[in-house]
Amino acid sequence: MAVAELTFGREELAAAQDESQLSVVWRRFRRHKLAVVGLSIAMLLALTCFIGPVVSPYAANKIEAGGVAYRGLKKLSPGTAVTLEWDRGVPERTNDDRIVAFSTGWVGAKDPANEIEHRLYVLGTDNSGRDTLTRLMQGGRVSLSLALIVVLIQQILGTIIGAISAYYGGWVDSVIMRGVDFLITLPSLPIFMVLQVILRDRGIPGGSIGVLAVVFIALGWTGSARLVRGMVLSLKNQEFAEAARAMGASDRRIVLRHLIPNALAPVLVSATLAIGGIVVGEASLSYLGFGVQPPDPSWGNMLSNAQQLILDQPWAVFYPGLAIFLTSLSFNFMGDALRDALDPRGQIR
Amino acid sequence: MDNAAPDAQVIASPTMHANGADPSILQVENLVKHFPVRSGVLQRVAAWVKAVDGVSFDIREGETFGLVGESGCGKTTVGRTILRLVEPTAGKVIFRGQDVFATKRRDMKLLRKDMQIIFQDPFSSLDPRMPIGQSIGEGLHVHGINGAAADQRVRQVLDEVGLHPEHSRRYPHEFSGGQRQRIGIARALALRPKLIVCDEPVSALDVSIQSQVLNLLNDLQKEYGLTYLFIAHNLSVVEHISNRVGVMYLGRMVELTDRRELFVNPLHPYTKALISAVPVPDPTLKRERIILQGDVPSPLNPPSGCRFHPRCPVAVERCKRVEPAWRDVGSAGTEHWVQCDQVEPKIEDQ
Repeated sequence: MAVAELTFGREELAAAQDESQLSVVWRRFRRHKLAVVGLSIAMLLALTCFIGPVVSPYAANKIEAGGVAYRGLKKLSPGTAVTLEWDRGVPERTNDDRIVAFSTGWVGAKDPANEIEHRLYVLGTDNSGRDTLTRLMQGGRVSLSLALIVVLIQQILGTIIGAISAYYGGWVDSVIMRGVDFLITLPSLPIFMVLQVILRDRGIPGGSIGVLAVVFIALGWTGSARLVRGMVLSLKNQEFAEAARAMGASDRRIVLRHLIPNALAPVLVSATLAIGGIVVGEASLSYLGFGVQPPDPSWGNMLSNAQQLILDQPWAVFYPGLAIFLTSLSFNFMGDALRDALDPRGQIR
Repeated sequence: MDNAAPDAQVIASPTMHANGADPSILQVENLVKHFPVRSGVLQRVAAWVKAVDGVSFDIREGETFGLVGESGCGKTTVGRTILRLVEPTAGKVIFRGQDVFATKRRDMKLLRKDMQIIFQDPFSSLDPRMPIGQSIGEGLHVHGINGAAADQRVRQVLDEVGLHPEHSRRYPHEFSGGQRQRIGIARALALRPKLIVCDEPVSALDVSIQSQVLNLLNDLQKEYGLTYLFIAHNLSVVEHISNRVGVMYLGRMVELTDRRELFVNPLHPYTKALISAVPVPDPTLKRERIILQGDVPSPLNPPSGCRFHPRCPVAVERCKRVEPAWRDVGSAGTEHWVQCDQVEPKIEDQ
């Protein structure tokens, strides 16, 4: 019985190495150079942001440098660590005699004339004299962890709702999907603002950041719900789902063990892309003043802060802007590569 | 896991007695399945697709019952409705004395252990993200068999269908079509069912592999004492494997008899046309082919009277109005059911 075919089949299989799907995906992911660069940048950013504030000599919210803004380190000739160039522009003073205006130059060590200890601020300080690098790292902590948590919850919620909607169909599907349509048609920015204001004093854990997370989750699950619904609609009529039903498997088992795992690849891709989106979204809201509230730093409110001073301190816009840009870009690269790597129709080797 | 003795061999004789003691494992009575066609914003039912419209037959323990018909005639729906993968519109299915459609949903699980299905498409019938061992063992898991016992059973069935037990950790894409179909068979076997609905199990395979899979099904039938409901559109395959054959046309059973009788003495004009179309590997043979006119009418709106009358070469005026009776015209000892009024009992050979 079937000797010829079987022997052939066995040899063929013996040649194929046992390789987990994860390692196949990883191998295919690595072929995308940009994605590898993106992954490196993202990991570097994440590491810097989470470790940085711990080792930084400055606190993110503390006013250093005598409340003066410095541009940062421009020139640091060897051997002059202690007596650094001190090229400060003419300070503008307010009525109460506080210095509010800004250095055009570079700072380190001591200013012999004023007896103020000028320490090294690698990226300078903001207009209140807070260390930009520390604030940037602290803001990155907020932005990145917010994005990760929001995307995780959003995608899980969307996946489950979408799968239920598609699997049960009928009126369940209609009700859920009309709800999704409704949420999508809402103009998001005003809703964000209104929700933000409503939720602000409701004791959401995490303060303004927690509120931001709740708002993002509440409005953001619809995309993945639609995505998963579409996938499950086509998957649920495939014979493997029917086979599981014929085995006596419960609806729950069929959805969780068969349908969702098969629908997961595009969800993973969209989640990756969504991370960049949330970082940008957080920045926009904070920029508008509805996100992370000062004095806590976030990339968005740093940007907003810097924008008011764009003529005096143009460099201050650059750092948070670059951070947002890099994060968003690197996650987008990763998303694209993941899309290719997870495609089962792609070549295997 | 030793709930069913594999040595119970019941091989039915090809010659059956219509009114003898009832050895049937499955009785299908007047099975009806209409699918709604919904349209419009409110999803109102606009029409019904009469996929299966009153089909009756019985399957005897240990036999292979072939169900043939062209695409869209409802044969697959019959198979799925029997397993309640599709809920019936009306009718009755008795499986080993138990009314399948009257069984509560949660009690179906027990019943499913004894009734399994092998699917047509070996590519879509296996979960691409699940190692095949898990797919095969899923039924065991669902029915509370876990751990080493389940593992051992999976390895055993893999071996029985001619695959390496070590391959249980591989994924479906690592196998060829024939191998995947064997995996599908192993999955159906894992729970030691009594009845397996084979839904065109070889039509997606290369001809060279078809016979291997058919032989495997034959061997397993002997070993496990299985009963098959074998759904196919290929008459040669059905002739090879079946004990009795039912022919369906547009949601109805038009002829049912044992295999030899059907192929030697087909009575219904549709069956005659089908059999005349079977390719014979003999270029010198001259045969009279019956070419049917037209297409299969839509099951949305089947013809009046006899459903076959618009294409029937022997139809008379009466056929348009009166639905023919489902009657047994077999000679002594052989049942031969046919739904055609133009057929005389004991009609001469072809």
